[in-house]
Amino acid sequence: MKKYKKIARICFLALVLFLLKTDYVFAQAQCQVSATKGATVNLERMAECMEDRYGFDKDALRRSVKKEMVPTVEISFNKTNPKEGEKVTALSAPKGFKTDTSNLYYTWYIVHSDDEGRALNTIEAGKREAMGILARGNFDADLFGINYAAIPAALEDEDGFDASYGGLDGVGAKTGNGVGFYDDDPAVMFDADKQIVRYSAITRCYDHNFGKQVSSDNMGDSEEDARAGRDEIVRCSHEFGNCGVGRVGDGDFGVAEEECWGTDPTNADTDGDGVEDEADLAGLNQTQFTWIYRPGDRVGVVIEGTSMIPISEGGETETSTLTGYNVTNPITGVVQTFATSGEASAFCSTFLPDNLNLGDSTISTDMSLFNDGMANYDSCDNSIIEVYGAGVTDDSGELNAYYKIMWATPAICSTHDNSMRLQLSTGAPLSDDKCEPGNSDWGFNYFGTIPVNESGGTILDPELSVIPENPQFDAVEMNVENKRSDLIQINASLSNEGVNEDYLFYQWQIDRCNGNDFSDCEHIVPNASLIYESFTEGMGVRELKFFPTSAIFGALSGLPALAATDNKVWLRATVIVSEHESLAGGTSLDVDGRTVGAVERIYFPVIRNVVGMNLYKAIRDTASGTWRRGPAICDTGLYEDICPVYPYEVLIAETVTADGTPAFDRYNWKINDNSIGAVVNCRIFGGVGCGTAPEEEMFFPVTAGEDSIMSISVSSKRSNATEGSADFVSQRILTVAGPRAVVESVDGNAVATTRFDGTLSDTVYEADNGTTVSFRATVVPRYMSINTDAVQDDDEVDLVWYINNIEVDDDFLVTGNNTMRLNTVLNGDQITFTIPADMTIGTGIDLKARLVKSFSSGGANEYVEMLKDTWGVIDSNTLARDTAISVKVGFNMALAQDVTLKQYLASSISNAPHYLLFIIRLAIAMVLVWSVMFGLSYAVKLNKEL
Amino acid sequence: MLKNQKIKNKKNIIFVILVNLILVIFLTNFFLEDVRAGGFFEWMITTVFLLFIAPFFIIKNIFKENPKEYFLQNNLNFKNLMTSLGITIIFFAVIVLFVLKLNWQENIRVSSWVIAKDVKIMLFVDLFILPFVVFAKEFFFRGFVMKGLTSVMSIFYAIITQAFLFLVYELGTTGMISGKSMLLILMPNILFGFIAYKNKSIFVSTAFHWIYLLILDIYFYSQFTS
Repeated sequence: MKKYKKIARICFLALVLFLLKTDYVFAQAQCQVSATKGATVNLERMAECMEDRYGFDKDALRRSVKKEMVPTVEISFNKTNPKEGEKVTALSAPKGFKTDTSNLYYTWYIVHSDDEGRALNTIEAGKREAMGILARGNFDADLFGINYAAIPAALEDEDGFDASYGGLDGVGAKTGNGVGFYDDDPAVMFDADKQIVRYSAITRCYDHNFGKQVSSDNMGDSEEDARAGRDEIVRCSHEFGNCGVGRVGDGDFGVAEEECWGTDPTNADTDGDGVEDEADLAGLNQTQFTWIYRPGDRVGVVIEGTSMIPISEGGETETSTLTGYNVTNPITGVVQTFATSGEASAFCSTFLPDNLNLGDSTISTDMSLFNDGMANYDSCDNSIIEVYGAGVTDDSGELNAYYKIMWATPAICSTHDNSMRLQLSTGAPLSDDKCEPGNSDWGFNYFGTIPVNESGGTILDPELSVIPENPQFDAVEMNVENKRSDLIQINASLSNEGVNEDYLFYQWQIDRCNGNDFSDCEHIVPNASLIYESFTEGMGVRELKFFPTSAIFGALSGLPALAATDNKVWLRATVIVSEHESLAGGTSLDVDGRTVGAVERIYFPVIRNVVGMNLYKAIRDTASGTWRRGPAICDTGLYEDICPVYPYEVLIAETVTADGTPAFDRYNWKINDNSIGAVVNCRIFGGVGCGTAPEEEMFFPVTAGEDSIMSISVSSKRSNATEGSADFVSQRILTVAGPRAVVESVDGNAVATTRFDGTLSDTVYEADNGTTVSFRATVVPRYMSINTDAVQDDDEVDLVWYINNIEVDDDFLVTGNNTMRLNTVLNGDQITFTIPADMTIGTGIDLKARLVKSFSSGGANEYVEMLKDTWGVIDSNTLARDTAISVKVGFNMALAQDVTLKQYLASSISNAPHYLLFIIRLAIAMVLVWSVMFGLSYAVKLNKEL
Repeated sequence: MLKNQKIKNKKNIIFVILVNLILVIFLTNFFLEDVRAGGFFEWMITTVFLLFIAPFFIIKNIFKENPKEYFLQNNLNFKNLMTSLGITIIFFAVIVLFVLKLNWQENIRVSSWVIAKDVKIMLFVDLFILPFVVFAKEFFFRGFVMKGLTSVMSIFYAIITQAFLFLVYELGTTGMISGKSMLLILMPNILFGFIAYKNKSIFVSTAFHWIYLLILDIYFYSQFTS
């Protein structure tokens, strides 16, 4: 109860305070509106009272300064610091458009600039390039074999797009006589109080004046400043680019325009983005733009759409009056005019048949007349049409609500906004960027461009990768080219989930680009210019491997040869990935008629490496006792690719140039990617490579372990200014292993067996029982030889043979032959022995060749001392390496050399009853024994007396 | 008269045995091709037929004697067995020292399956083929030949003679070998002849002969594979 009393007191106090507000109590009498039940309330009078009382009228909102959401756009990139040739995507972020972003027109443009920031192309050319990329995607008419001139009409696609103004859903653009006026200008204003612009003046297309930055040029220009924030009426015109044929966005996109833009004339949506070709060119829903980046590239976009700013345009009405009726005479065809409809009807009645008695028995004779009369009447009556006089226009009608059609670009023209502007090589700004010097363009949007230097989101996209990143073509060994050139491997990877890449069809192509112009690339004929190490097309061919050749630097169809001093060429790898065998001609379509597949490209440079490397043995000059460069090694055949060396071997590497360059002034020698210095031990090493050598020669020891890979590389730079930027890397691969023997059959009596994979074995031989076989041991590396005297030279090795792990020495040759009945004979690098006649098939004899390499020691410059004094190598031990083979008894040589079906059958027949024949022979032998014995016993009367 | 007849008859028996040996060598050569082609079974069957079944048939049907008398009995005397074992150990110890001292091990013939270093084949032949071959040879030379020789000469000469005839058989079937190799064939066969005589059973000499060959194979196999 106490609680309710408290609430009641609060309500009472609130009522008292309300009553003390006397303004509300005493309202103006003239605005008191009283009405009783059934009376009509004058709403207009009520509204006037409201205006007078509260201080606003029906046009107050129109006159108020509205906070406008002017269309703008910002551009970001998915990569901050892209590399040359890398794919970059520019993303647009439009704001202030009433039109949905998918219905806006995005006209992208790209401007290439040189090192000094000067534009290399115009905005119009930039539009043309960007629009083409957006419409074509990765489609290439040449690649797909499209002949535009021969496209049958039946195959032509229907991909025209009539671009309405203000975006896909924009309507209502019109002509107007107020172009050039601001919409608040009195010349176009219909009602200044209501801020209604005259209907006949506006076009509904506007440019927003953002204002200009204050400077000495425009200080005090109050008239210009006052226009900031206003919208200027402009003529409605799309900002699409043109290629010279037809007009984009006119709804007509024939084969000629398709050819001009390079789109697929048989595919309405060439790039497969869901937007048809001409709509692609108009930029419909092209919110992002992807291109191959080149240093200096700048990108911009102009977006057309309907803004959120309403137009206060005065409604325009047209009235007209009825002036009469036209009637066509059914007999003469003359049109006659009557003032009223009654007069017109009366005229037509004159054609009705007269004086006809429908009951007359003779009427039948007059039916033709009756019918003719009725027909004329009907024709006349149907021809009556109303005639109106000229209309009267009245622009004092009601407000017509609409929204302004506007364009947004990433930049505003201003005297202080040169940071985003480009200049031509003449120093003048781009002529077609709509930012001419002077006041006319200041404050308005212009075709500004921004460089790729902003961070952005990550776009997932199927990509190609190239290994190595900077492949080189070895121009030194022209006669054996590709041997030392890098094997270029291009891998295709798909980010799509649930797709088995092994079942996709890949089609590869390599093109060479003209300079660094990625839009001008020509196909390289494979067999002539490249040596492929993989298939170029096929299911699951995700890798393309090839060696570059000198031909890629030569002239191609449509491309000139590179200059002799130009050692860098850009190649373009294209892969077509599809679920079908080919996309050629756009014939690979799914059930919905869409192209199934994707085209991806990657651009990469190939360096023509004119620096090579030769290897030499180190030999000791017997006269001076110093070590110097000996004969070249690993300069022919497979040794050029991989040079076999042995531990503790000392080699000399020297650079050579293919283009006659005498010397390079900078070298960086590396072994296994670790830099090494020049030998400074001039007491041991003489000539170049010692002390202050120019470093074109390098002494180095092989310090890697057995069965390892070692690399020696040299990085060099041109000494002249023109090639100063060219880095050349030359590398030789060395396989490190002790000298090893290759054991081969000499006389062919022992035949190499065949492995399961069809190749010939080099370790297992077969020979027949009783066969004499000979084997020869050859030293690897081949630049070494087998020692034949008592002293082993530095390039010699000792050879020791083993049979069944027993050394074949002088004792073996005397006694071992008796033991194993092998008749072994040694002859230089050959060994000959005879397979025992009773050896079991499948068994055999082990043969082993051991090569022993010893290093000379003693004296100041002997090998071991040289290694120790120069490089601190103290563990140069004797090297020994075995090569083992086995000679199995396995088959009849004669049969093995020419096995035919007939011989096979003969062999089967002869072997199948082997045991039967054996038993028969044994039985005969037994019978013979018993017969002889019985006969002999009777002959000698052995048991006669017993 | 009867005595002269018996002497003549014994000489005829020796004659028959020698003729049989020549016939066996001759016929064995007809089967060497099968043996050298890796025919271990052929080797065993041929040897058993020619060196055991044929003489067994001659003894039983031509000589009209009990084959058991040709050292086929198996009632062994433990004392003689131990004596044989002792002599064998001493003999082989001397032989080993002799061979090693003179470095004659290369003059010992090595079996082809040992040269081939195939342990599976070696074990198969040594365990399942070799015992039958050795038994047949023991029966022929230590039973059939040596027992026949004892009828016309003393046991000492009989043992020596059968060893030489064994060498003749080896030469006749495998070809000529060096003198050292011949000596290394003769000496063990003299021992085996003595053992057979001492124990009146070729089963003992067969066992010793088999073990001897087994040790040789293992020794050379280890040499080849070490």
